[in-house]
Amino acid sequence: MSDLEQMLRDALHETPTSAPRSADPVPAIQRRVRRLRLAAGVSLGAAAAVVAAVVVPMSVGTSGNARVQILNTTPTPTPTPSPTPSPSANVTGGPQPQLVWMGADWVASAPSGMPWMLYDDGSGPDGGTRIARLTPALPQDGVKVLLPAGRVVAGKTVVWVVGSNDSSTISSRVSALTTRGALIATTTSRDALLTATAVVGDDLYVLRNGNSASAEIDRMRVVGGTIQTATVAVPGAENVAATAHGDVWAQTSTKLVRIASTNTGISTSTSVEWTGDIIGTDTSSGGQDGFWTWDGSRVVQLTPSLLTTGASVAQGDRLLVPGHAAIAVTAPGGGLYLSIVEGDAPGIYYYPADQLGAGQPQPGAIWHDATAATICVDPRGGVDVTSADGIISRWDPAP
Amino acid sequence: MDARLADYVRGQWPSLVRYGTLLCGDAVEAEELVQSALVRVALRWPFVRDKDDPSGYVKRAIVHANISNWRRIRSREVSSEALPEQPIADRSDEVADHDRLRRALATLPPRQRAVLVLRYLDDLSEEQTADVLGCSVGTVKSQSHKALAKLRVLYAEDGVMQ
Repeated sequence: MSDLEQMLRDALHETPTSAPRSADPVPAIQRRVRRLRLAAGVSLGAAAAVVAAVVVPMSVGTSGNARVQILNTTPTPTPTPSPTPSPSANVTGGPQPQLVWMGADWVASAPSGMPWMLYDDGSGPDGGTRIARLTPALPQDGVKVLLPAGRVVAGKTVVWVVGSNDSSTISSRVSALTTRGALIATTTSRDALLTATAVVGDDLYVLRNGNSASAEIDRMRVVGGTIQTATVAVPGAENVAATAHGDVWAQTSTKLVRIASTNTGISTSTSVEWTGDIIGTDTSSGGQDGFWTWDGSRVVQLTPSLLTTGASVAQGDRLLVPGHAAIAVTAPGGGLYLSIVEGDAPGIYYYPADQLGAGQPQPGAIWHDATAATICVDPRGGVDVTSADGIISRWDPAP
Repeated sequence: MDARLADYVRGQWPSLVRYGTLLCGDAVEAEELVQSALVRVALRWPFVRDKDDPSGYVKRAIVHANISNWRRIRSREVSSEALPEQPIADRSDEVADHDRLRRALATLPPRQRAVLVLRYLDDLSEEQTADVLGCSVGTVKSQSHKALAKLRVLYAEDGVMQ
């Protein structure tokens, strides 16, 4: 070792430690993590809720298409197979949640069949990030996907895997797969973070560089075995979501902007003032054009297209909840699941359908202190809740 | 945030900021750098294998976050031919030399800086450094060689290295 190397080693090891400005960074980190998880939860909620939305049915490549590649489908062990039938949870008014899976990144409902999940197969012989159906039979096989991959979004016949990586290089990737796990096409971009998604039919809507003046929304569509992208700028967009009827809206801090789609591209159309966050798509029979939103104090059932007529017309059910509502998912029977992340009583709340129209809706069941990264409807009943730690539990408090 | 991670962050925060400062050359920027890296670690926490001692994972995240940050702000970064400050008079020669060396280090490109910090602060081998940075051993060797050569020049120009 040369003198310089030795001196450098000494200099580095003797670097004085000055007191950081922030004495305890944990609260700030927790806030940032929560914000990111909220964005993911909303987008997944939107994806889950457009089951019935079909705008442009797409045909995708088959095994006869030269562009189609079958990814590695070697069966691998699950990341952490369920060791126990049920986690301990503090629930009132309903059954205990059932542990389904441990080690998931994201879970999204599918238009048909079981939800899709994305997970890191850290313990498998081949490792990698994989997607798989959340089938009752565990363990199951997963399909290895290209990186970066952070979430899975299911269309009618296309499964989209979306990811951004800003740890070593700023790069993003969107891959389209068939529901059997065959790669149809993939596209990458640099210097763009993908922060929210929605799906209509098989079209994927992606928010690029959200919360910035350069925010844009891409519509990605599989055409002839390739991904075709149409883009529109929506400065300041924080989220993108789709109604059950397939109308796409971008949310900024002050307004909702409708995204119009044609065969040749997309553009912004109607813009309405609204300062709340979209926290889920309303899939109830009366809310096919709307969302569940959080206005800072209440959960509001909102039909954005009616806001030009008047706020009272556009707003449906309103719920006062004991904290910050982060995720809303309509139950198949018309009830509502809410993830409350702050306040005096955080947890997941289930409101039966007959309570939503009441003057002061009361929850039928509460899973106290549960923190949900995603919530999606389980075809067997209830919802699949993914915790911040990647634990998926099925909870079915509906009678 | 997982309680173990929160405890780790609280216990290691000053040390991590110091680590970030060596990588990015600015103590204030280092706090944001380390916090950003920790956000990513928190999101990936279920998949961190060594939860009892996540130092390696966290440092790797900081290194990559710094390289990423630099790419974003590189247009604003100005390399200085001469070191901007003189050591203060009342410090010992050795302390002043070390201070001068650290400031010289801060003028290197971030990947070269990361190679030196990983090699000489963390005492990682060339293979381990390559693994952290996601590059080949050959790249580590060449980056290390260039970094030390540049450091030597900067140091000599500052009148310290003979």
